[in-house]
Amino acid sequence: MSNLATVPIDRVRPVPLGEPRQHPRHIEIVSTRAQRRARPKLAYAVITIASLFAIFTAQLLLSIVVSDGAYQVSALQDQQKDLLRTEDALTEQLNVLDSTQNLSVQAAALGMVPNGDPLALNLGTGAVYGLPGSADPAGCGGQCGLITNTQTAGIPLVATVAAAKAAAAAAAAAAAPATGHAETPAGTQAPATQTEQATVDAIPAPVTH
Amino acid sequence: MRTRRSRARISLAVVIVFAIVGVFVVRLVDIQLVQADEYNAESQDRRARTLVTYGTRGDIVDANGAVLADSVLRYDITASPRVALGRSDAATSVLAELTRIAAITGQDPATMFTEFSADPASDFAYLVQGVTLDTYEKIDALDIPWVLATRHPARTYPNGQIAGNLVGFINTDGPGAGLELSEDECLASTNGRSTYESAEDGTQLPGSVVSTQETKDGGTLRLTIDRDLQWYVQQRMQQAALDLGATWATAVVIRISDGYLMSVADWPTIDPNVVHDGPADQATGSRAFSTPYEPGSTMKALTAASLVDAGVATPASGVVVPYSLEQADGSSIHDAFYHDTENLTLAGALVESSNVAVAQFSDLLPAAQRHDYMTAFGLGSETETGFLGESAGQLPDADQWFGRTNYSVQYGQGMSATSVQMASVFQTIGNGGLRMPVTLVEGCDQADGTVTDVPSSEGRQVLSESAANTTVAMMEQVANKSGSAPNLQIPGYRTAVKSGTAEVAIDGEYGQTVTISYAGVAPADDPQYAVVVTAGIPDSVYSGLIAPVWRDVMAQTLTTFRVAPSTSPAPDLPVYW
Repeated sequence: MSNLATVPIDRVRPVPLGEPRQHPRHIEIVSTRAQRRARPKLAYAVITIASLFAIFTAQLLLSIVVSDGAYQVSALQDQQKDLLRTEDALTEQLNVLDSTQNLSVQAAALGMVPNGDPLALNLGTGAVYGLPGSADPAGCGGQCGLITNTQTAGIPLVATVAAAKAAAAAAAAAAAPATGHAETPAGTQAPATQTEQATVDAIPAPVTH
Repeated sequence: MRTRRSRARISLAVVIVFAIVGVFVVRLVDIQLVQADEYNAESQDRRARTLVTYGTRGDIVDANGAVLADSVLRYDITASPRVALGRSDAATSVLAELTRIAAITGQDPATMFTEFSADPASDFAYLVQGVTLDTYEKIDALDIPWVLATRHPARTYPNGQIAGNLVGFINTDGPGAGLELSEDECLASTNGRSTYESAEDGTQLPGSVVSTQETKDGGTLRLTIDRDLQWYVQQRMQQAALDLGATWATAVVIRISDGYLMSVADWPTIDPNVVHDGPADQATGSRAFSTPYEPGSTMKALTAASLVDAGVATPASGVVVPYSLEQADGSSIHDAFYHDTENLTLAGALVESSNVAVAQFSDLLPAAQRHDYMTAFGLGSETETGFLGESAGQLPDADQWFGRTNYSVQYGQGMSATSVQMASVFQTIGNGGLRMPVTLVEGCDQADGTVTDVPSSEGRQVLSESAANTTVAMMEQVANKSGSAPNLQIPGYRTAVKSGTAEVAIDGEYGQTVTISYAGVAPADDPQYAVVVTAGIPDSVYSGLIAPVWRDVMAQTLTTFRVAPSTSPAPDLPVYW
């Protein structure tokens, strides 16, 4: 305080007002760090736009994949429908082939005959219960094929088909052994009763009960 | 002045702007709120397609799973005559294309062409209806632009006439008869409905499928019937009916242990596949269930069982039996064939099938009690099967049994029963007196895995076990000692039967026409199956003619189910005393 009081008044030269205008280059407005941080950067804009592009592209690809999948699903569903229909049609055919009428006709054509009397074999003792009746040549105890079935119309006889196949094979090969096969279906009618007899004879010491 | 004019102009502009905005707002509210539903629906209609997925009607299968009724797809091949005949080369191409189709379907191309060009302006004509997938694919491969196929579900019966009497059929309006109709609740399917938005080429837009109704397949109806046995029995009954000159024939095979019907045969019957083409009066139901008849002497087995169970008679009890017996009211009962006065036992009354003897034995038990036995056996009420059009038969109340009727009901006249009811009577006798509910449907396997329509297995003790076994022993005497005995033998097995010849009342008068039947069980030492065979109005009135039929059906039943042969000899009960 005492020092100030001692400084003579004339030595204090007031700075003239016009003086700072003469040196403008020495003073710059420097932005603060906070201000610098707040300033938008180019990188951000680039990243944003790139991301947008990436998202759009991904979305496009995804939608392509999804709609491609839809076509695939649609095609597979169509295929499944077709296969199910084929399965249904084959099951239908099988059911008709499996019908009792068809089986009985096929069996009769192959020379098989039912035994009218029940016959049982005791495996423990080898005893036969019942008497083997005479085989019914017609195969149905009288007039056959009375129980009709329109579904079985047109089904070829297995015996005929086999004969035709064998004949074709024989013709193709023109070999001697094939002829034997071709004659087999026609010849089955006669051996049927013999086979039955043979079965009965083959049982070890059968005792008719 | 200038300011005032400009202010007015601004006001006008504002008013106009507001008015226009107002119009838009009103329209917006109208579209978005007032008519929103309507527009939404319309847009949905344009974008969305409805997809109907057909549920499959359930199959009817036999006890072993053999399919008796099957749901299949059929194709109707249709075409547009307008498009086809409008082509420049129609004159040659249409006939050529029709010829190619005809080669596949086996039709006559000329007829097809005539029918096809009957209405050239039409956009729709059937070329052929109801073809199989095979045929459809062949026609489709021809790639004819004006030909179109529509698909629809149909029904086939792969076993034809086998069990046609029971299964029934589907006609154009839906289930028409039999189990198809009565078990429709089990078999019927529900068509599914879903909507999706489609792309231009018809592909579904992903994620746009909305199911509005789930598809539900019908259940599989499992019967107790054995298909192969059913075939044999039907065939045998038809042979018998033709041989005997009968107008109808029925046969029932029932399993004794549980009352399951193994076979119910009717002649005549239908092939459900061709029911539309047949005559209008064809037999579309099952007579064995629907048409009762006076059973005749097969009822004597029931009478004997009742008397033994009540303790008023034994097989050895005896009566003196003249040919004819005068009644208090002046009427008389007599036996079928003349005979001198005999001393018959109760067993003998069955062997000789004597009406007079049964009438005298019946006096041992009051009418009310005898009536109660008949009711307990299930006569006069429908069986548990609930078969479509089933009859309960007629059993008059005991207080209506006057004079001769008091006795005739005991030998099967003046009352009536169905074949199935009679089979149930013999099931009861064979099962130690325990009557099991008669069962035709084993269950309904629903698509979701549950089983419905499960039959009851609760029996009813009608007779004591000893009374039932005694009755079987008496019926064995019939099989071994009656006039038809040689025709009733099945080697290896003991059989027990009763014959029946019943006069048929026409307009209330008994005439020369009869119903002949045989009913019985085998093997007699441990009864497994009961068989009742009946033929209506045969040329001859002698019941013995149907004995070989009973024997054949029973033999086939024993073979089919591999029944163990009898191991002990038949008892010998005296016929006379």
